[in-house]
Amino acid sequence: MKKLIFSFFLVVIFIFSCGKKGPIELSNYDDSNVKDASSLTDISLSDDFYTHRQKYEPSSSDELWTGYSKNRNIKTIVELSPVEIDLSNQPFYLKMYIKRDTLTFFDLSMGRIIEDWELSEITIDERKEGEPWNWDTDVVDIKTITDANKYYDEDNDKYYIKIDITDYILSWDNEEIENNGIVIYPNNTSNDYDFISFYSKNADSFKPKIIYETLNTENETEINEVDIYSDFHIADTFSNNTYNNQLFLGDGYYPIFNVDFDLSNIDIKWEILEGYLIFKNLDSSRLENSFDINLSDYENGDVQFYIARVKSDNPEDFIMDNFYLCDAEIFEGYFALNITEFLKIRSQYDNKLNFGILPFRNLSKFRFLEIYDKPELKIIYRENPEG
Amino acid sequence: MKKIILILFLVIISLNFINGETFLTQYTFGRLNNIGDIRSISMGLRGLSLYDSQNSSTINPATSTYSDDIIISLGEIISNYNINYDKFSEDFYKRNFTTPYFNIVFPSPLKNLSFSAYFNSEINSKLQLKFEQNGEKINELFQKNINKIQFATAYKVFDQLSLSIGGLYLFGNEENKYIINTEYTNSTEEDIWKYKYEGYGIKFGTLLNLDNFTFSGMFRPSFQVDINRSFDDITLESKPFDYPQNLSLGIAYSNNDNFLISGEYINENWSNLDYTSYQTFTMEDLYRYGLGIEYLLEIKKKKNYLKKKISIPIRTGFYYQKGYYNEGNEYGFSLGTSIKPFKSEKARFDLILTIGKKDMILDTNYEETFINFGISFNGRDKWYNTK
Repeated sequence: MKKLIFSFFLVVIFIFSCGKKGPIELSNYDDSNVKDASSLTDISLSDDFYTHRQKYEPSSSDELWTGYSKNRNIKTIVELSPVEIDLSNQPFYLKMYIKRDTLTFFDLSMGRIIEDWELSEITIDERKEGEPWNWDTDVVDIKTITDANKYYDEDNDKYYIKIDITDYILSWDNEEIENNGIVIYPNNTSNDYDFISFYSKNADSFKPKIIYETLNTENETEINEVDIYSDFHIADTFSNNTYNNQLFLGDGYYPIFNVDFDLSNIDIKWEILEGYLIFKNLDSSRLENSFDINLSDYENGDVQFYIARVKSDNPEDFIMDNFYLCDAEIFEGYFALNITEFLKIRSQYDNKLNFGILPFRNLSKFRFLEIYDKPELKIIYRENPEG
Repeated sequence: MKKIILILFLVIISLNFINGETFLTQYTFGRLNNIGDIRSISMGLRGLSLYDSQNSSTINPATSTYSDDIIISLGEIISNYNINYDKFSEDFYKRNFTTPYFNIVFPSPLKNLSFSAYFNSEINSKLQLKFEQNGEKINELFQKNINKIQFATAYKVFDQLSLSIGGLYLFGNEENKYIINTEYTNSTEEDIWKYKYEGYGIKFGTLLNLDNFTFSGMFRPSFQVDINRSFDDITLESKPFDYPQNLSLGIAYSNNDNFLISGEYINENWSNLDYTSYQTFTMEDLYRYGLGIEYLLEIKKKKNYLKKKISIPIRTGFYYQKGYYNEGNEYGFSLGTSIKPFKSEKARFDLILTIGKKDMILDTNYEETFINFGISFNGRDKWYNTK
């Protein structure tokens, strides 16, 4: 009897303990601890902004620039190695596809370099360390490149230039003349930000080629292509590593900003739902040309920049970490970067961030943009549930 | 073999339902209505004055001086309750909650000296809410676990008076997780608060036994509890708080045969709780009054022409609690008994059934009606004669 009663109690307890568990689904329930998202809120960026510059290797670019940018003369150097070419198949042409063209006048020159140079040391001022160029005498057999050298490739919807370089190749074949490559440069130097860019040997496609025609066994004309040996562009270098209260982007320039969210009364625990860095005063046309982007691509998420935390803002020891790819957008009619994800790391750094903006394709180009005004930082946040 | 299966069954029940669900931990330190042992609770008491060989409650450690046997008691109470909460548009929700405990009474080989210990997991709550607020899907998961371990020693100063002192260790943790699926950014936000509790306190107990009457008192001064708190794994500033003091008084009358009646008064200063550094708890001083009786019912029966006598303890009690919760009221009627399913007189199971109701104002009106089922295993053994 006792065992029966005991067993009965156990079963009752077991059954009752199997009561409903799991989530309680509620309708028409509000938790006052869960706050709504805020309205768009301005966050103060420090006035202590600056631009930092890092040097880079020019030879790894996938573009070749010629022209003027930030009052700098930019030249393209191409090395050709025509050893595989049968010299009986003249004429020989250099074919280079155009990537962007902002030239006011399509008026370039090309010449053969007669002095040797070192890739690791070459600048627009020096061919080797301590040995300056004399661009008037170090370049010979100068050819002019005009609209007459510009052709349209219907299949690829791209323009390219084609220049007869038969005399260069024949002269190099005569081993008495050293092959130091050729240089392409603009003739008109009156306008700043006046440049043309070509696809380089490092590009995925449309690489520069030496082309020539041959006849096949059926007596048909065939186009033959030979890769070039190397290419790169050179320009004036800048000695300064930092520019206080000036903002440049691209070409090794990183605009650096500082934000302290405490100063805007944004608690370190609050969630930032959206954050935008809004640039209200910049040249959108130059922006597109500089960074090879199209405004129409914003909505597709195809325009991206990097944002990174500046670990040390000492110009002598400039280190960045926490790199985030952020989408460029048009925000309230202005060019803006959506930096929402990046801003979330502020909680790891005491609610304060030094950060820099970098182009998607970093460094080794002359993509460059001057930012006239400090950008605005706007966020939408949510106060976190407490406790 | 049957014993092993039985104990295994009990353990499985305990493990399966170690967590309960309650809203009260969000606004208080949980439910404090099941403290002591099953026998005491079934009399509406905590067992302050139960000075006999059946007592396993060590809430007042001075009671341990009576026993010549080592007593262990392992028990669990399962609360099934209905919630009526003004924040819900729906009517009642059924939930359950469990409170396990483990008591040991350990007489020492030295005359009149005894030891006791208990582990009581007063709060084991796990509550998950799902709802929509302003078009956002919100999932809240609240977990809280607070345990107390007590070690105490008691000494019978002379035949009528026992004094005790004990150390108390409070430990536990809490995790509150808020998951917000927001269409605003088409993303999921997750905020997690984590708390770790740890504190040490002392406790004093006394018991005066005058033939049929027993008077008891227990005082636990307030003690400091340290909290290590983090938000999304970021450690935040910690501020300790004072766990409130407890003053408990009891009286019992026994005819030293088959009848026992006992009353208790308990006061805890929860209104002094300064917990605002973490969460806003509005609490009031606790006043608890309990009255219970135990009657040993003897049933005579004949079996196989032999007269047999079965003794079954019948226990009942009532308690009323005012305060603790904001504008809180709580009362409960309880009923209990013991059975001895094994042949040994030194092992028994205590059983309890309690029906009660509590109401308070959390952030709005909150009401619970509850039915508690509980069971404990009590074992006794004599290792040495201390008389």
